[in-house]
Amino acid sequence: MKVISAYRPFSLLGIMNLILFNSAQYNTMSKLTYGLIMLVALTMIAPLLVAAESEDDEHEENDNEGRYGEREGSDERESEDEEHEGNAFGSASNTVLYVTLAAIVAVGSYSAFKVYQAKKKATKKLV
Amino acid sequence: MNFFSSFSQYKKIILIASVLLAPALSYADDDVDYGGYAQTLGWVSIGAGVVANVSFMIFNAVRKLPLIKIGMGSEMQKMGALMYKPMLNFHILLNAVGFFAGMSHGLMLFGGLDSISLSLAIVMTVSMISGVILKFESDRNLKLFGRLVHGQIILSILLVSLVTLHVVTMSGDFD
Repeated sequence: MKVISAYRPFSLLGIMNLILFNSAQYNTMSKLTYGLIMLVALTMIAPLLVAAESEDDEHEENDNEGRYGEREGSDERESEDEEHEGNAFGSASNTVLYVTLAAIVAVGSYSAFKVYQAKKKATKKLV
Repeated sequence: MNFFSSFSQYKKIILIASVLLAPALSYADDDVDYGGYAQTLGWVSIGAGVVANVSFMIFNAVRKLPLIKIGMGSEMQKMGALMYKPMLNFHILLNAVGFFAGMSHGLMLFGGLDSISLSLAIVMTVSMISGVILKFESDRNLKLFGRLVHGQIILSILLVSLVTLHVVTMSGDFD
């Protein structure tokens, strides 16, 4: 498995955290805002690193195809079978991702609806 | 429990997270496969999450038991009330350590990212953000939103399932 040194953005965020959290004028709301910004930045950096890594993978695959393009017969059949298995697993894990995203959207929507209901009740009581 | 009694401990969270990252930083410039260290970080994340959440769930369940009815008196209730804040801080601290360890594990093994790992990272981030909102936000509506999201059983089930799937699918790569 490839291991890439993607620690740099994360460590920079950690250092910024240490500096800012030591500031005497740092109040609770700013801490929350900064913490959320840090988490959002981390999640935004992640796809960029994946994209960079996948470009490298594509270049490597193209090189490999050039070298091994002369294989025939049973080798091709075996690789097709493996590809079918890989595709099945890939589609199953993509399903997991879609289910996860759907669940999070559902939870968020339900929570927002409950907050809206509570706010509406409070407004009615005032009136 | 005095260690967890006040919450200037977020600084300790950062300190502990930095301690976890320090060995990664020291190996970062070497062309060495530190997949073993990354794997350890993953187990640290799982262990911290299990201890933080199971202990807090058990504490809350015991606290809500009708102890007076079974003759254990009001002392247990008082102790429960006193212990709540330290237990909550313990839960927050350990979950934060687990979150940072998990994210470090994910960043170090980015090349092997798949849909299950990405789903797990998303669910962990959502839980963390909702917990942060619940703890630090003063606005009533946002706090209610954070409490609703953070307390959803479906997120907990999703998290446990994804961790299990991730361990099962990735265990072959480290053998």
